[in-house]
Amino acid sequence: MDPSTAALALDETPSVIDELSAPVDGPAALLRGTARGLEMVVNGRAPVDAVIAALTARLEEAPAFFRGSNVRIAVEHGPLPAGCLSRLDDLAVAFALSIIEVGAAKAKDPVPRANLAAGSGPTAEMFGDEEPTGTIKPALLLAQLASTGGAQPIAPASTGLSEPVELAPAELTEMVEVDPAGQAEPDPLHLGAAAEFAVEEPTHTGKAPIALAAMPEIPAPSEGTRLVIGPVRSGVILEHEGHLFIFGDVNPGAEVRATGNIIVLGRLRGTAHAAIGQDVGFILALRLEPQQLRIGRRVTRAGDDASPPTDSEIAYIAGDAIVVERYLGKLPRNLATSI
Amino acid sequence: MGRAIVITSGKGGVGKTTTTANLGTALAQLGHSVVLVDADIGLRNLDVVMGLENRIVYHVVDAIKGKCTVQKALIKDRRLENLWLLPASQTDDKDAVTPDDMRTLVFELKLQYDFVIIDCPAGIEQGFKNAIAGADEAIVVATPEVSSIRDADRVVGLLSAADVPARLVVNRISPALVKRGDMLSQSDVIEILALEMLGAIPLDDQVIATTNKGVPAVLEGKSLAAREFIRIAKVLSGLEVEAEKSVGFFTRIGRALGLSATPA
Repeated sequence: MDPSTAALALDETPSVIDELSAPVDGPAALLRGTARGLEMVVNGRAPVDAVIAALTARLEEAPAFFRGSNVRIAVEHGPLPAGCLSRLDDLAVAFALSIIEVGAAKAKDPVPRANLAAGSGPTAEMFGDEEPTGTIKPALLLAQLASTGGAQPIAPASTGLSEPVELAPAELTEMVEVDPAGQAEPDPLHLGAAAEFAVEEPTHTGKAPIALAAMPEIPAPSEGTRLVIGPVRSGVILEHEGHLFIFGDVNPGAEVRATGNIIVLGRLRGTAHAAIGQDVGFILALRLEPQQLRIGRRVTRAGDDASPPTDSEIAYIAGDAIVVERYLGKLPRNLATSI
Repeated sequence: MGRAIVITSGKGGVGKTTTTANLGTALAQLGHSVVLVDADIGLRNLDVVMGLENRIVYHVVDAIKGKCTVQKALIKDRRLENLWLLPASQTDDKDAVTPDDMRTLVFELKLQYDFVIIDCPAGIEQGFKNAIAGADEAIVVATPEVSSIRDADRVVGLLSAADVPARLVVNRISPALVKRGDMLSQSDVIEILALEMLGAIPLDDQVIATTNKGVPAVLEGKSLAAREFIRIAKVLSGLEVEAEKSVGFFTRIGRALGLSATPA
């Protein structure tokens, strides 16, 4: 089973096969995938032809995909009309499906698979039946089907099947025996996390969605990047060949010097000299209030009437001068291209 | 084994000698044996502030050079039994001793006294290097002024390079001026210096008066400055948790100075 095809096919199952559903409330039949596997939801009030046609149409969309699956039949607005079950059986044979269970469609799973396989007799509790009359006991029907060996008109449940009938366990077991291989595999359609419609889960393939090499980078010089924990005190000269990160303040009277870029995650109040010996570089600080800024061969200082900054700022060379801009999460355009 | 604490600042005139005298006296009042060492060779002041200048026979250079024993150079305080002073030389200069000399001397004193308080000279040259040699910890004194803070920052850098842990005392703080915005506040100072705060001595005329008389302010014990010195001494001897006290204290200063709502 190709998981991608599965996703594609099952995405479409909730759609109604409208041309066949006219006289009934709701679609005649649906084919859907659940956590427990493939399920045919049959509207008991729909004409048998409509039910079979609807299911055939769905199965014909991807016959190879469904081949070999176990399928459960869930009946809504039951009971199954006369002859429906044998037609379903034929359908299953035609598409190489195995009907492993027939039950009333419920919000919750009425019959744990294990119980059936174990061969305990069917009871009303097992099927979770709360509908008073007109309820079929599917296992019984299947048993009848098996014993009679083929198509047989099945009387509507109201004629006497409302009472649970004890059957010989052996008979029942044979009919509803679950394919051991199927049982061992709780996911016959190989859907993985996508089997549950209700929950959207990402497929964990372990591969990154975007190749990392596609990200633009500022090359690191051979000396690497240095990460210094501040504060850098007055009178200290901190030098590095490469990029320099300082976690803390650079106090007035301190000098930080680098051949690469300088990033101060604190207040830059001393002197910083970035891009020594280069033409391009920047100085970024959470609070840029330096005594002096130097980038490459350019020098600048804050204006005499400058007020203390309230945002992070980045300083870089534009044209002939050092410009200072607010840094709000992106490198300035002309800097990003030139660096 | 005693503790050697150096009182330093970088900037001159911020209150190192006054702090040495008052803290030393307060510690002695608490019952510890204390020796004050004047490391300001050539410009000695600690003896004047302690009122002991007439009793100097030998000094620290004599003791280091071996002209006398350390014991002979020590002067007992006028008032307190367990307080001693090792005066500096007035006729030599700072190159007269080396850091190793000081290290040996301070170690010897630590063997005999609970506290060795070293009064550091202003500056960052030989005198400073001599004074911090042998110290276990430092108290950096700064006033809430830009120049003082700048110099203190430099000194803290040098102290951390020498592996001497430092704490801060802010001296001569005036709540009224802080409130008017004319003076940096305690928190402004701490924000720049990023040091653990030991205490804040308020600007107090009493201190000036008593200094000139050669009587450390804590001996009277009534002035606001005196009370803060005594509190710091208690912290140094491990007697008190300082944090909660600081807040209440500042409010008390404010009220004493007649301010209704004083910021902490």
